[in-house]
Amino acid sequence: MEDLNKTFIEAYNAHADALFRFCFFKLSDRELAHDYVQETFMKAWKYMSDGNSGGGKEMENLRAFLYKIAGNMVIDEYRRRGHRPMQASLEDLHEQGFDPGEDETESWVDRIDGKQAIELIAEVPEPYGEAVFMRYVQSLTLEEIAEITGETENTISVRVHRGLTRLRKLFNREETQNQKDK
Amino acid sequence: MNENNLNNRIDEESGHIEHNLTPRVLHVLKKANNVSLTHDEKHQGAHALKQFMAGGITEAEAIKLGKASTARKKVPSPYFDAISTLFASASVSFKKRVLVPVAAILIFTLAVGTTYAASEALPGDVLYPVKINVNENIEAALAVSSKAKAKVAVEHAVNRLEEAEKLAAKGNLKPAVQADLVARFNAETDKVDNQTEKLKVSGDIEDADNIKTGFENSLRAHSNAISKISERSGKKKRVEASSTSSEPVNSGASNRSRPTRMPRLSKAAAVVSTESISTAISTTSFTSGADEENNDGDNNDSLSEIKAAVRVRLDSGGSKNKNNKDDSEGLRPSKKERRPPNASRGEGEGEFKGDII
Repeated sequence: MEDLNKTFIEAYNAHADALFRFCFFKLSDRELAHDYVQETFMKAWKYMSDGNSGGGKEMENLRAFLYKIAGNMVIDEYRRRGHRPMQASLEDLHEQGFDPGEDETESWVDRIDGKQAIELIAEVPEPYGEAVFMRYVQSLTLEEIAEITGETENTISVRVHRGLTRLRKLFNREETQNQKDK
Repeated sequence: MNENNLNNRIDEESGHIEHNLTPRVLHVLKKANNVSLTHDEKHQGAHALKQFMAGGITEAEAIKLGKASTARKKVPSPYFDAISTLFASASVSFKKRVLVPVAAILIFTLAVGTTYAASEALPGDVLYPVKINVNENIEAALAVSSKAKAKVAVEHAVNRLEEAEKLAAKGNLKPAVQADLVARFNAETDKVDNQTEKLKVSGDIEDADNIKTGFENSLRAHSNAISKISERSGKKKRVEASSTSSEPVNSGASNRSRPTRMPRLSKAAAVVSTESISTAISTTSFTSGADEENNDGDNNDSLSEIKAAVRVRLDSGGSKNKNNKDDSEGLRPSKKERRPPNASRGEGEGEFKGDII
């Protein structure tokens, strides 16, 4: 038990931030995200201390395990709420003075904060947005993402690519418009 | 971890160049990576986890514990929830967009309403401090020229008199309150004097005189009003229903209700100098107050301080306009201010309607 506890504290220090970011990406609520992180670790610990895992494989990929737990909790939350929380973050940005699609300069990118950046990425429709997030913000490997989501690596790869395309288009609406006009 | 991924367009795993990783996109992705728990949050969370694992607390408790230091950040406001439900929107951005202007409008309306309501406040009212410290301060601050400042000071001085009058009419003017009003009144009249002096010095004699005259007329009118109130509250106790105030010549009426007054007034009428008249009048008010019954806390006596202050101000005013209109409906003429030239004659011709004595 001592080993397990120690492992978990180490895991917390290593992964709590990433998990928090993930939960925030899904929920747009900082406090709620923090709660979810706590609960994720506690659930994982309970599962492991019950003797279900028997060490070994689960330990190897504790991170993926934690993501899975968090992901499921988020899905439950969506079901409870009836929809995904942040639908209109682009409008948020508009009222704050940003217009990523129209602004040709690079300055708005400097002005946004992490929260806004995440919300921008979340504008990309699922599951592409998540794939981009997991791959390029969380820096997970395709293999890991595949395991977490239960999809094949190829599927994830396609999703990542499509997500990036849409993200780029999100910022360059003028460009694509002009090209269409031509 | 793999920061390099974000710096070039080559996808490490597949080896392909990802054209979509434009600088803008990369930048946004990088920024998103900055989001993380605060040091406190993380520390608190680790601590809570330890407690949980040690078997000390339940999950729910651990979650609360994890928030302990950050809990102060968000206190759900019942007002926010109430207003949010008005808009019945599940979207976060919609709430934010509409609520901020609504809050601003509500605050503005509240402020306007408060200052408006405060304008009629009397000492002792909840809003009186607002009237003094906010309304009047703003008025004073908005007045830039000496002329404007003088006018504002006149208005404020008169306000003090009106407040005293209203309170006294209700039977509610306490000595401490009156002393405060007198002090404020004097402060305002000092300002009037200062500003009119400045006006004269700068050459604008006409305005200075107009303001001073207007002020003195006001003071006289109020001096009368104060006397009326003193009488009335005294007369409340009496059986007679004589309406003194409506008679132009009141000596007769006063005779009926206050026989003791008249002899003293005769003395006053005979006196020549301004100062003694003033003192006589003040003394008169004092004694008349003492003569009358007072069941509700020395109501008549209590206005004497204000009255004296007004007197002093009128005396020292030194206004050149002596022939001011007579606005003494129903008051004894001796209460009027007499200037040396007129006083030396024993009466002010053209100044008073009624008999002198």
